[in-house]
Amino acid sequence: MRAKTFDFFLWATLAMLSLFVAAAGAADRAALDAAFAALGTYQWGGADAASIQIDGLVQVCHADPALRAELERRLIGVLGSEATRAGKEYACRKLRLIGTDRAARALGRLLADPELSHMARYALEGIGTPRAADALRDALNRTEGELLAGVIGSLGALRDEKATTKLIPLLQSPSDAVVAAALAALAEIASDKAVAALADYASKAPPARRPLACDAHLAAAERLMARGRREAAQGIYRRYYDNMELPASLRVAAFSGLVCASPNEADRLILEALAGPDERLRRRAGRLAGEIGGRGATLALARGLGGLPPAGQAELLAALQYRADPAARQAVLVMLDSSDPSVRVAAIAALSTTGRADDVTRLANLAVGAAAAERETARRSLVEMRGRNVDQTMIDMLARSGLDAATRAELLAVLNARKASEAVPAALLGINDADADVRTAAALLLGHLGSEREAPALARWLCETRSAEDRARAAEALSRICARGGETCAPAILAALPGAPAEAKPALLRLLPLVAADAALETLRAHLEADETAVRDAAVDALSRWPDERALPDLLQLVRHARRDAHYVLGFRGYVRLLRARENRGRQEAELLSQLWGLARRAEEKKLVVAALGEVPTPEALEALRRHLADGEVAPEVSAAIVALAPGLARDSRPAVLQVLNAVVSANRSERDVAEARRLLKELQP
Amino acid sequence: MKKTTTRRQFVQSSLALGSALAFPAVIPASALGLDGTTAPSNRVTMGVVGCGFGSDHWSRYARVLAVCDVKRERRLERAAFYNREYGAQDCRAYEDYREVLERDDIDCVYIATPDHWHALVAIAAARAGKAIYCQKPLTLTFREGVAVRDAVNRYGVVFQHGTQQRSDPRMVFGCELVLNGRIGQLKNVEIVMPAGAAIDPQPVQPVPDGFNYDMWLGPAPWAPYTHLRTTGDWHSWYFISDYCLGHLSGWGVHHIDSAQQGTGADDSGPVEVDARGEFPTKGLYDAAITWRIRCTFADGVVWNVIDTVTGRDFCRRFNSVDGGVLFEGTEGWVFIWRGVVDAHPKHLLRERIHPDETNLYHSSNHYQNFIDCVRSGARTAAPVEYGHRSTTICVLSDISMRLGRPLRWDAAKEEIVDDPAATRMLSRAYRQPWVL
Repeated sequence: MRAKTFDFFLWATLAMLSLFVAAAGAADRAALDAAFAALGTYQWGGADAASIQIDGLVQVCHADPALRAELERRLIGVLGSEATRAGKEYACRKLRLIGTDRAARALGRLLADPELSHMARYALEGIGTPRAADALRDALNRTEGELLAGVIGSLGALRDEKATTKLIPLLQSPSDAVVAAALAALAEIASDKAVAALADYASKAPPARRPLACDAHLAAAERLMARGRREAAQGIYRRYYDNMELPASLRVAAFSGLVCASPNEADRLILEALAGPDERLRRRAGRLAGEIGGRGATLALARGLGGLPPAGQAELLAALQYRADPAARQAVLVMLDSSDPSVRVAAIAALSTTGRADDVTRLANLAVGAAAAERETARRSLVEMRGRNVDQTMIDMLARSGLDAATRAELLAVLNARKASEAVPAALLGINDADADVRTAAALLLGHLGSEREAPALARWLCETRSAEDRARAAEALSRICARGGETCAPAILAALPGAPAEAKPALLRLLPLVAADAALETLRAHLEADETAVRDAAVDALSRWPDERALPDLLQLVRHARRDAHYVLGFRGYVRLLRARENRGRQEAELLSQLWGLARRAEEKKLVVAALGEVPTPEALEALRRHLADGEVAPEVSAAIVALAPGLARDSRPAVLQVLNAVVSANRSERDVAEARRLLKELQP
Repeated sequence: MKKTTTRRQFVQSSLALGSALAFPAVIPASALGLDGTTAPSNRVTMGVVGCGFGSDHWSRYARVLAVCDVKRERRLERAAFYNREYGAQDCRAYEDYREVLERDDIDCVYIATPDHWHALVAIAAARAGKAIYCQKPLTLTFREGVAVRDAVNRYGVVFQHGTQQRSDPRMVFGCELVLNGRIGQLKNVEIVMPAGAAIDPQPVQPVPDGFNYDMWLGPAPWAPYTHLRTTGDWHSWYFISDYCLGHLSGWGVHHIDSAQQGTGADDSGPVEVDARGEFPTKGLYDAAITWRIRCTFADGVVWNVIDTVTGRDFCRRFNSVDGGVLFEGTEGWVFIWRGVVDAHPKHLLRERIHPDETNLYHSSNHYQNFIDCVRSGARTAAPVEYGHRSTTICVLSDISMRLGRPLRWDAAKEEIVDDPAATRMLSRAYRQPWVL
């Protein structure tokens, strides 16, 4: 489909065209005449040549008053013509962009037309001048029902203060739509008279209309606030906030407005609501307590904290946490001793942003000794506390003698979660701790935050420990470090291997694919024939996970000569994996996989080969798959691979593809694949 | 990137900013199981308005008691779906969203209508005191966005914008890398999103039985019915500008929103938007097919926003069919896409964000985050202000494309500078009887 590009070239072209038209070039004027004439029969369904031409001129005419006037004149002409509804609506859409007072009168005439009223307003709202508002206001007497509601809505959008006196009586309309529109419009206008009318109506409205009336009155208060009329707004908010009969949502809205309109009283109002029984109001007060500005507010709120009931205290503590102002710290600390568990939890959480390094000890004690909810929250606060000296305080605590094991483990876990790499030396000490939890936490930290510099110490730990659990911890930490550090970790692992006890060697060997140095591969080869079964197994396992092609010959050797089935399987899988990882697989891979087929001992290995062949987009792979169709163990997989591979080869190897697809049909191994093969055959038949 | 500090975003200007921008949840003692009572169930009650995308995702998270759609078969099918899911019969089908909002037993609504309905439903829901999960983009027009934001803030209801990339931990991590200077000084942001579409003119057809087409049109201009005008997949109303601004906002707002998050522009906006686009020359669709948009920010950072056709090389480079967001700095780059973060130099991917640095709001499930916030009253991952800002960039881009000229934007006042014609396009008159 063609597309029009509003780029600079077209822009320039259209600009020239507009100048040309403005200069009254006869040919172009004729073209423009034709374009506008075409609007007479214009239909919905999108642009055509005529509208595209007009669109382009509308786009550029903002810089050309003469052209704009000409276009406006012609568009106005369409409105009064016999043009289709779609054509007139098109004209309205364009007048929305370029129309002036000149268009307002013509558009106004359409406001009572059920078909065109909306699009006339579409244009008039865009024009937005006093004349446009006049036209809309005039229509208030000529329209009713939904059309009237629409006109009122547009007067609201234009905030036409002159309409106020005409809108107020409409609040008594039996039409819900008219009343809703009048309420919205008066709220937008928010003149003194409009606000007074809203106040009056909100107090007398029938119950079904009262919420909308109150909403409009509150919206008007926002307009007053935006104009700096704070006291007037306060009066409105106060009226609704104090009315306990109103639905909770309205009181909440009024409360929010009152707080915003009363900066000097905000803290008092918030504390008052926090002390009250209404849960929705309390929640809103809590949110606002988080948002009102300034340290003075923090201090005032903190001072009020102690006087609140527990539910209000919990809300306010959450707000103080959000404010993140250290000025609230003392008040928060007091709440740690509350008898209410939810208050204690909120206070512990609030310390995450209001606390300081001095509070680490207390939080650490809570993190190991308190009830479950407090323990979890204390841990989270320790993790989230800001300030570099927080990390250092924890590290210093770890160095202190006499600190219990549970706290040592907790602090290491927290430092790990804080990503505090300064804690790595402390963690290196931790791997020698007498407590298993501490060793676990230390190993986890080293795994996450350590580097190749820590690899020798971890390798030494792995070799020297007698505990299988510690070996697993060390191996896990090392594997994470090696995965990040790659070859830089090789010296540490290779240096540890020769002297490593038999029980440590498997773990060290399994790290070698992660470091992937040449020397590491050599070391693996040397261990393939080791005396200990576990060491041999580990070497084969590591070889099967080797990340690149250097291991291919070794893996093929394993496939051919492995004495144990497990080694054969690992070798086979590793070999296929490396072939599948090659980019741009082609004839060579198809050949290698075909050779490997001959070494497959079980259906599982054959399936691996089939899957790999199915990813090689060559006729050779297709032919190899065809040969394997006869193998009952893998025939369904072969069928599936063929129908997946065939379409991509059809263009260059059509005869071979047809032959193979026919073979799939004949073999009839899978109903779905046979159907797909038939479909492809039909598609590919000349 | 410079931020405009407002009352609501006071915390962003605080040096003592908490590690997450989430407002903390206040969990009562009963919920903690501390007073011997049972913790409340997860059964937040919900009404689904518009049985479009995602309307069948909620059974895990909430108890959907009402579904609403102007297509009878669709709403009945969706109600039956939820009743099957719950093994109950209490999910009722409605044609009119206002009936759903009248129900006192419904806590929140999920809005998945076409875009031209988002504002009216969201505002009515806020008035009714319901928490709101509104699909993206927030609204069709700028004026609607302001109205939704005002209503949500007036009633203080929980609001989640359907930009779920804010709950994608990898994408958020990528944003944190950028915000914390890991790629040096940010220079450029490349944003690529799916291109639009065009189709031939469509025949006028009779309105199917059981379809309240007038209600479907709602505040949008009247147009004759044709099937493809109203279907809910990506080959339909998405590309008709009376209902949506095409993939630019219908899809692209996701990546715009992520760029906004990664550049710290959640409370501000560009100072200039210069967009050029290609539009269909015939047929039902009239939203842009392809585009090149340049958004310039006050600190000199430039966003280049293009579609996946124009950005074919970008997609190939990052192996992404739906584009993504590339942040380029003086010392490296970060690329984010759904579930993906990539960077240069690579070691950035192993970087850790310390509590002292800028830590963004952490959520790993946008739906669950919403439900959690409905229960706690906490701020969501994608609050209404952010949704309004990212949607505004889409709206401004569309206007600039249609006018063929750059727009200057005052993000603090939220006004187009010195371009009355463009200003006219920030709002559209509603079809009667609908009023914003």
